[in-house]
Amino acid sequence: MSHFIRNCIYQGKNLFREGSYTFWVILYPIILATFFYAAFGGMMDPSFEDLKVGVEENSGITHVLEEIDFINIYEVSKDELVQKFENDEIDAFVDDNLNLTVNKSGINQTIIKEVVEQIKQTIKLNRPIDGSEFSVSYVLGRDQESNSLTVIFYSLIAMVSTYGVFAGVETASLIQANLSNIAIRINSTPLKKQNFLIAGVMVSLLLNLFANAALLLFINYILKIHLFNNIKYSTIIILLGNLFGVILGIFIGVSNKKSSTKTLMAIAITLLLSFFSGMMGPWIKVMIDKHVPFLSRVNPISIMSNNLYRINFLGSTKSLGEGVIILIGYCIMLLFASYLFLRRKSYDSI
Amino acid sequence: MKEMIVKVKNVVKRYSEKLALDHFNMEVKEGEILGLLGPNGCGKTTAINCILSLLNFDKGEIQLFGQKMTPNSYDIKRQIGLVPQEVSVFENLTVRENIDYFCGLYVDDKNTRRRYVDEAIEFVGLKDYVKYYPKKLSGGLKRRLNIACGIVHKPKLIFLDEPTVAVDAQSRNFILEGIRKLNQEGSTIIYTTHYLEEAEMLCSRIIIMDNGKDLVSGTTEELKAMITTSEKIVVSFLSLEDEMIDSMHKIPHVVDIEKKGEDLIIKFENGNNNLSNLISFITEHKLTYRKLYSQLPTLNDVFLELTGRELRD
Amino acid sequence: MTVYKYFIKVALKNKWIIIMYITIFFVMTLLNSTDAMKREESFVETRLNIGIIDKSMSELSSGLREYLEKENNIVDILEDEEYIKEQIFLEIADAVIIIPEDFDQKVVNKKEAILIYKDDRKPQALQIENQVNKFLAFANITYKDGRFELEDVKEALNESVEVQLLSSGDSYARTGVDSWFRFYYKFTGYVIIGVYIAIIGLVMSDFRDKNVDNRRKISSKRFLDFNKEMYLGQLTLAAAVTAVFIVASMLIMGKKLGEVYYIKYLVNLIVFSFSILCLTFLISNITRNKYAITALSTVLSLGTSFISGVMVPQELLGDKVLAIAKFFPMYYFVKINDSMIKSLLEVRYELFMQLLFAVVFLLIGLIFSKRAQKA
Repeated sequence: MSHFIRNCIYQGKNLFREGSYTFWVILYPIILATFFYAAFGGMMDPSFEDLKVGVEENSGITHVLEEIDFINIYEVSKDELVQKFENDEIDAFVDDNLNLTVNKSGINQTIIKEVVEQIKQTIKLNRPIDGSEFSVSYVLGRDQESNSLTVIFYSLIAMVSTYGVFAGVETASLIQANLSNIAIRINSTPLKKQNFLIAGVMVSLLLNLFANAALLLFINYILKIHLFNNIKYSTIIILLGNLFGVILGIFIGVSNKKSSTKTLMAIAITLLLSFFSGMMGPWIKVMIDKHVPFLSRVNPISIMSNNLYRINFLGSTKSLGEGVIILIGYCIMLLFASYLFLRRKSYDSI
Repeated sequence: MKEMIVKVKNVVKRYSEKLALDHFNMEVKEGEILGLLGPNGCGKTTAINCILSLLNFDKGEIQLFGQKMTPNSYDIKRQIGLVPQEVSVFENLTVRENIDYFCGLYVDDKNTRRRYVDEAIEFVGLKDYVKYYPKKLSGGLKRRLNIACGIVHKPKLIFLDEPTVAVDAQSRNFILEGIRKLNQEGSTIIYTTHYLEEAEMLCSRIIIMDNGKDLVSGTTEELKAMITTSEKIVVSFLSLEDEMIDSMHKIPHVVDIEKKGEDLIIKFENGNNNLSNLISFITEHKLTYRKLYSQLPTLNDVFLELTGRELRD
Repeated sequence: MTVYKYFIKVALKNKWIIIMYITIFFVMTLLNSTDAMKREESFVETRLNIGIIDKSMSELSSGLREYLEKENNIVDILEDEEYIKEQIFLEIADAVIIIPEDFDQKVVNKKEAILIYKDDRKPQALQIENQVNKFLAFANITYKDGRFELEDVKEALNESVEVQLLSSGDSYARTGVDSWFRFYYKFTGYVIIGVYIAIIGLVMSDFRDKNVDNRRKISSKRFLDFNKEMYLGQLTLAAAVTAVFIVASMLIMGKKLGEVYYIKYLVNLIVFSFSILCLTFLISNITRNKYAITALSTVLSLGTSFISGVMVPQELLGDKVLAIAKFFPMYYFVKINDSMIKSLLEVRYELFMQLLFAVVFLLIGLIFSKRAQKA
């Protein structure tokens, strides 16, 4: 046991003191999150403003439109129409013949059209009405916040939770005699490989978890995006993501020879998986879900990000069990595959 | 009769295109300083890596301490110290931390460990640098750290793979002194080098290697006795005609005459009065020389005679 | 040309990882642009995406369904609350409507007869609510002797208003092919940053690590000569990467090239590539640390892409964000890429800005290189 602790301490010191590595592991996700937030922050909270409808002076329909609480009325003369549109002072203009003028098509214009049409259609229907008919609501609303852009953030969190992959690659190269000088020395000592590796995994996990915590605090308190309602399950997912990352790193580390190549491979793999899970826009995820739903279910980054939004935004834990099992499955598979590479203790060439 | 610690028999190691060890043999007795001497790329490091079971080999047998060495021979590994050719330490651990880490892989007891680490630091003279990181150390000091990490646990058998490559003269002497001291304290040492003088100065026995083969083995004297040249006389004349060189061959015991720039290197086989015979020849032919001195053969001559090549770079 | 030759040699030695890296990014680019045509439409259309589950199957409910289908796009939906919520959350559906079994009864009694999942913060929620309420109010108005006169309702609802669209110049509709090019090339911009920094960084680190001897030889070379050859090496590698993406787009779209103002995309990408090559030159002179290079390649590519409108259109980004984005060449690249110009002269300022960045990056890179040589 004391051997193990000593290994952890020294491997930890060796890893943490690698200034640029620690710097990037911690700061890199934060910088990325800041960029994401700059781009999307404003769009994440849609707010519904009253519609601005322009009418002619002393128009006959003013009193009808006034009844509708989400419409504001502005008197506009036809000459200044273009001006008013360009300054965004009105969304649409209605003349006395109930004809509509707009300068673009959008949801606001569609709603106004709907309202004006209703006036026309009511006339057309030609039945006696007392007005009370239109104050009834037949709709029982179930509010569900839509926020597809948060997928981007969950996907980012999922991606950086696997960034222990780099520390994993490093650890692997410290123990494979064909990869580094120091491994030659370590392999000549009575230290068992697996002990060195396990200590390396622990240390890498610790560093990456710390980096994740820093990112989450930053998102929550500085960017003020509240992504976590269910801390317990979210933590499970993030922990598993960390474990997966480090083990993937060890696998990449032991299965290949060149160090700079491995870092690139790690980054390319995690980036591609994150792309599929919607990090560069939720529409990619939606497309994948529609056409290759299987990919969504087995992509580790998707598993993490999907479960994170389901847990936190939808209150659903339905897919959590399956996700956890698949992630653990990956970890075991990668561990086993790494073992196959590591078992070979003498090398053909160093 | 001293115990045989290392036994390497007919080991063959083949890299895809190259035969790195060609039926290589080596035996090391307890208490020896064995020098493994040979030019760069002759297979010295490969031999060590095979002995330590870091490399697979195709044929042959290796025994350490009378047992077969495998990657899992932790008991054997416990008695071994390795100083690899490249500086192999953790970049982000200080001098002391590095030494302590490697010591801890062998020595569990805290107090013993502290004592060993202090002794190792003292031994390599890094006392003033214990808090330094390896990258801040000069080349020579790095090498000393590299050695300290390999010997801190006081192993019975120490492999030193070219520990003095690219080291300044001061550090080199320090290192060689240290190796001698380790040997006096009871460690058996296997020392690879391509520096003749070092091997000659330090080793109690030398194996000369070339192209993956062990050519000869023995003490310096034994090796020198094996070759025909027993004396070399270097002389530099003001002017000399080629016919004169031919007549020089007639001087008793001369085996070879080589022209190197201005110098003439005259090689003699075992015999008496070689120098005075040469001087008589010079006086007889009224030759004028600038300098004249006699040399005993070196290991380089041994190597030259065995392989037809010089060992020096 | 020793430096140049050696650079190319090192690059070739790393060919597999470079090919893999480019392939991965190429896959992303393709997926992104394939999806683009559809996305583009949804910005101009005003139809909502709704899901309907009808458990009543009455005449009334069919009438309602028919009406909603006419006005909106229908998406497939499963009757499962978690699934429905997820569709709303992901904005696959703007609203999901559930018509209960006792629908007619509730409508007649003016009760809350229909369940709608929607995001109340968005105007789409209001829109769907309006449509449903209107239809049911109309139906109720016609209710007589136990039955609805849905034919009248339908007829009334066919009444529509005339909409006049004041054109404000740039609102011509893009063709699908143009959208494809627009997204393909925009995303290629992102890829260029990521791939250039990563693979040129990789080759440079190899180049510097393993060639101590050559370096010694090189040091006698004149400073500018050395940099020139190294830059030429980077240029070759970079040109190869950009060429892959250009040729691929030509192969995929083939004859349809003629349908768009292709020269715009081509010139813009080449100018941008040049500017990023200079950025890469700068970075490779600042740091050789592989973590720094990996991180910079992701941060700069993703970060500037997000704030410059590669992933979402510039018009949806805030002014402040765009103000920051103007400090990166990506902004100008996207601006040209998204523009609807007929001549390159119209975007000369944006082209100039990209070249200006290139020059600045190059100069700073040289300063760092000079400094490193002195140290």
